[in-house]
Amino acid sequence: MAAVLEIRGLHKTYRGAFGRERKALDGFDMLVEAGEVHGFLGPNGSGKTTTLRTLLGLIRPDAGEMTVLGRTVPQNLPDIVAEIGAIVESPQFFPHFSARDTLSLLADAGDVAQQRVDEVLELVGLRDRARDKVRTFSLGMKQRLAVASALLRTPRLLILDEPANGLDPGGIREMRDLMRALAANGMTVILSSHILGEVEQICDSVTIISRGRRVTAGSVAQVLAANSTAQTRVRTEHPAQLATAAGFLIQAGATVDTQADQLLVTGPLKPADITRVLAVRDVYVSELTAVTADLESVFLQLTETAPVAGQARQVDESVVVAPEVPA
Amino acid sequence: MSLVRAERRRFHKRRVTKVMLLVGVLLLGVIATGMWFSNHKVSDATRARAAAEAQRNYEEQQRFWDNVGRADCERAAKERSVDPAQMCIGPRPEDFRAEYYMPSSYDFKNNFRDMAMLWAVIMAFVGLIVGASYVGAEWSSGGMMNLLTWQPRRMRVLGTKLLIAVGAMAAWSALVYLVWIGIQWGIGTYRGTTAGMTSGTWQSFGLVGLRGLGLVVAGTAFGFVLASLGRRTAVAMGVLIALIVVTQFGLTLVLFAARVRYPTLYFVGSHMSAWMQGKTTLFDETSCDYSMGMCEPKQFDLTWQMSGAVFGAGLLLLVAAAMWQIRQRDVV
Repeated sequence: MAAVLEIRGLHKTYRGAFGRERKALDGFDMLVEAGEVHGFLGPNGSGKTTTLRTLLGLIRPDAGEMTVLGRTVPQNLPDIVAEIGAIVESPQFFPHFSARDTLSLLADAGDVAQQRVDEVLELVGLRDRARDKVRTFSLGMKQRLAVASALLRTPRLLILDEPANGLDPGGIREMRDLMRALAANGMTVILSSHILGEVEQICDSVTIISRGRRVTAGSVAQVLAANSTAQTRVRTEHPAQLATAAGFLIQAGATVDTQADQLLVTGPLKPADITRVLAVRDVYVSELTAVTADLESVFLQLTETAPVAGQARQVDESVVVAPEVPA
Repeated sequence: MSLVRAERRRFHKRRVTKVMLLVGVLLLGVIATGMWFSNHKVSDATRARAAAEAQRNYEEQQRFWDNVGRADCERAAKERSVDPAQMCIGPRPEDFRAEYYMPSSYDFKNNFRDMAMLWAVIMAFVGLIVGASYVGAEWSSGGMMNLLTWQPRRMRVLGTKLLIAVGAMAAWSALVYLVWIGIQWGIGTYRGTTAGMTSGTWQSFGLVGLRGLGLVVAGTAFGFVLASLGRRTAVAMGVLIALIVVTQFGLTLVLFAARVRYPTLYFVGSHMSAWMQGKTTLFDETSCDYSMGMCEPKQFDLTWQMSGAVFGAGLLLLVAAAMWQIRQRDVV
């Protein structure tokens, strides 16, 4: 598959007053293949929005290379911008214009037929509110309008920053279905979101960023597999037998994490072996489940942002990975 | 062309544009209404009434002078050892002219230039607010960022917006000017006089109108560029207030205290006046020592070409700064 987007060694440092500096991107790499829905994940302040804005020519990078749809950006952005649809961060529109006016003006600015305005309003479910002023819209409705504006030009690459923000559950599902349908029609979608359950369901691949560097990247299945611990959850008929059962399993060569109501077993024993080891010693298993990692736990583990009881984690307190060595 | 079309639509859809244009027109309407009621047509009967009133007043004053005034004056002169023939002159007929007793009457030919100045200043002020809000609100609402993801050529986007703002304001102001001439002509016809108009006068009014449009363009561009540099409408308004306070009040004190030659040369008002009136004469009070008696201060004629060059250079500099800034600065 051809790469629709490729970023290599992207650097961006924000310089504030009195010479204060903050590295937003520190040699960031990213690769998105054509036709996939790609999740772009990271804790707050990790560099996601800076990356997306840099791609769209809004921010000037200090160093690095970016290729979008086979063309180097930002130099060639004007030539390919018609093939990119994007919403960056929260949807921002002029509050006194109606939804239709907002899209119609964008359509004019981008040489898009006015008929397309009604099509996208229908697509995002705003047909009946098209004449209402944007200031009367809820966050979710503004979000729909933002998606509509991104779809106006029928782009080949769709960049969505937090598109599900403020959407109701029905809206989230509609957005999920919409993205699947767009990808099925050959559109590449980059989705930045904190709703990791959604990302896991929608995305084919993910990139996780922390402190301006790539932590991991690959297909969702690969990322999950690479970070799963292959644990088996064991519960016994009588909770009082858990300690005894743990002893038997350790004797059989397993590593056991004993918790209040369950054992988490890691090691060479397969579920059938666990059942046998315990049954022959009159300990009967009431639950035997393979513990599979979900994207949320992998994300928290990789970015080291899992909440710790009694500690208030600060923004920017996330993992710093070693810089990637160019191949 | 599509960007031009979109920006033209956006400009005219904005509430501030509509409201401020309406405010400008209403202000001119109020002025015209006041002029209508405070001016009167002068007829032969009015002139006769004024002449009679002048004569009556003269005679009344003369009677008072003969009865009381002369004696009082001569006594006072004696006390001060001044020649009474020099000090006690009494009322003179030339001080009681009929025109002093005529109702106010609008002379279109001689008064219209002042009215054109008023139109230009009001429309330039409207342009300043509209221009500042047009780009300032775009920056603060995030609309500019949205637009730049559609049109990444930043200088082209800002340049198009600037041209649309000044172009539209110039077009609207030209229309208002034509209506304003019509209204003033009407006031002259029914509440004064339109006598003495020649093709040369009309040509002169045309040139005044063109210079007025220049002022509108400058005001609009000034507001636009300041708001663009500060990325907020409030920045333009803040700079404007600061300019008025610091330069026009603070500068007055400093320049006069430092006895700078032609201090009014540094005031925007002087340049606006020179631009609109063709020229304005400035006086150098430092050239005179009044303790030595009467003195005629040195004069300097500030022409519309000089003021035009000052306005042009200032605007060019600001536009260049705004263009450079949008090209270089991150959009965050």
